Amino acid sequence: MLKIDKISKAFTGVKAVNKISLHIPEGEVFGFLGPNGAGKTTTLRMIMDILQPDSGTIRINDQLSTKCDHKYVGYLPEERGIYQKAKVQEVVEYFAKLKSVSSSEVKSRTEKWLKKLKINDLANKKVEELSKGNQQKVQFIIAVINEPALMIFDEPFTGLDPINQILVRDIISEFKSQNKTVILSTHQMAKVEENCDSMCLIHKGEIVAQGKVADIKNEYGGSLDKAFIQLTGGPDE
Amino acid sequence: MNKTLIVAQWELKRGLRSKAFIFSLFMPFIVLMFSILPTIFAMNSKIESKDIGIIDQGNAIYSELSKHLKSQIITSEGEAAYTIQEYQTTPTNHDVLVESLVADDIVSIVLVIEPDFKNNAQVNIYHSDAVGLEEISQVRRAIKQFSMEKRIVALGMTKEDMDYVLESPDVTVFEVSDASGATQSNLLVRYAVPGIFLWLLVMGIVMSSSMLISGVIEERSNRIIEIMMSSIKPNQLMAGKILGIGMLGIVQITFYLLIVLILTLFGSSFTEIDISAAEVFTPKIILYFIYFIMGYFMYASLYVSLGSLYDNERDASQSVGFLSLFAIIPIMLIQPIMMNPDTPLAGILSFIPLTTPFMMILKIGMLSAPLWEVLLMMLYLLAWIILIAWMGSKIFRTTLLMYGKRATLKEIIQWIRS
Repeated sequence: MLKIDKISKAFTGVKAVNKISLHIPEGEVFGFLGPNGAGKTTTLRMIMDILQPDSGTIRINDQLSTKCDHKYVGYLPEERGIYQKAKVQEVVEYFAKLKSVSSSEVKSRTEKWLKKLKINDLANKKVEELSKGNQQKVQFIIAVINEPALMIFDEPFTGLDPINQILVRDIISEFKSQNKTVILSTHQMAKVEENCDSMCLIHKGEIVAQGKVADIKNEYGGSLDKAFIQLTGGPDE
Repeated sequence: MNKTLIVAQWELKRGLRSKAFIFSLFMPFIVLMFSILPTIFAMNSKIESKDIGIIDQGNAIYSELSKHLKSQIITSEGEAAYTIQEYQTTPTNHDVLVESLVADDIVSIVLVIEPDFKNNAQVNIYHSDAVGLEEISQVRRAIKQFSMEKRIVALGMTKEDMDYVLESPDVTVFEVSDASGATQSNLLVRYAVPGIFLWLLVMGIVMSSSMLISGVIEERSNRIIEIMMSSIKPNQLMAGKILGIGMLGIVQITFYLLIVLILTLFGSSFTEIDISAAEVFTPKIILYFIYFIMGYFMYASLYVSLGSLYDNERDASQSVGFLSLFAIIPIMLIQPIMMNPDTPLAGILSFIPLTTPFMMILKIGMLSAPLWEVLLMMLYLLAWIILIAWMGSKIFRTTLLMYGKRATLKEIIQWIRS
């Protein structure tokens, strides 16, 4: 589904990503881990074609990411923000249209997802009237409204209460059962263990570990936290 | 639907609902109202019945002048506006009398006819502070006419002769052009219609500038830009924004035209201005309409392009807001250009894209610019709009994820060239 081949990106001489290669097959939930400033967001932005790599290629379904239609990829960025003055339903419908959901389906798809995330009673409220957690749910809906083949979630659980975290986890499982590919970028190791089949750990712009979650866990004493600390040099580095 | 059109539709819908737009829609009327109301009030102010005292000083014209003033200065009910009373005094103490009459509120105005009025036509008007400028002017006009009539009669002419001499010539103005030959020209329409369009465009741009700027950078200031970029290409977003904001301009001018249409159809019943809809809605109005929209698009694309250099509204408004001042330049220059249409200034301003739409509206209306020039300048303006939007999309694409860093001119040029 996603093939990344030796991509690099530098900002004013500083290498943010250095020759990263990844292959994520269809129907997999993939954990994308790394400490702050490791190059995770830059990599995700390159997959989304928001940033262009200085070298290397990214292919989604055998198509170069630069040529790939936005409708095949859904993205929930780490930066949270949404049109504050607009109504929830309007915002979701707007993005559904932008993500090429057919006009006959826009309304039903919006209703379906608002119901699924349990915010259908807030459809006519302005975004600014919603709690942070509910705003995040709206953003999550925007990312998945066109139910794309590849979904990238950057810290999807942050700001959600435990019940809503379970809600999102179940939706991710549902995507997996539908053979969709999910990239989950997070600092919460428990979420990776809970949701992901495979993972990679990125540090200083390079991949330092890659494989099945269970294998990496076993290799580092049965804990992903330990793997994270050992591979990234711990909190002092 | 095309993504650019989806964005345009979204921007239009949000713009129409925004308070800033609704405010900008009505603002020209509010400003216009405040600028012309005092004049209208002054012109139509009701003359309240007051007293005039006349000190004749031996001219023996009191009764004639009194009759004349009563017939010339009348209230809205058609009655004489003033009660007139003669006061006798000697030349040496009339100052004392005048002061006591006015200061003690016995009369509001005192007319002191100087001796030998027949030859020197000298009258001094004394008035209390309750008397307005318009009232004084009316009294002056009445005295002037009285003096003229007296002199004409003194020359041995009859009242009929006098009316004949003073009759105003009936002048009709014709405008001759290649296209329509000689046509009767209505100067009010010729100058007022383009003037109003110009005014509306200026007000539209000035009043909408904050809305335009905030619309441009909202996605960046609210950090929605990454979600947007995962759904749409930057140039599609830019084009959609310019189109949507430009469409707001179309809504604005259509609204104004409807008001003008209503005023021309029904306005004559409650105002003294009698312009028919047929006189205003000539083919020229299509050209004004096009230039209005192009002007709006010109500024919208400029705001979108330059606004994308900033990540928050305050910085953008401070740095880009001054552009709307360019829109005011042609308003300031209307008079010199009208007086001297061939001035090189008019030509120069037509070629500065920020002032082109305004100058062309002026040229079409007041100077009857040839059609080839009108069409050529449309293409010229269109080329500028496309160029600015294209440069803007280059800047926008580069800056959309830049926060807190100010771009230098060198960097901007690099982005445009890349």
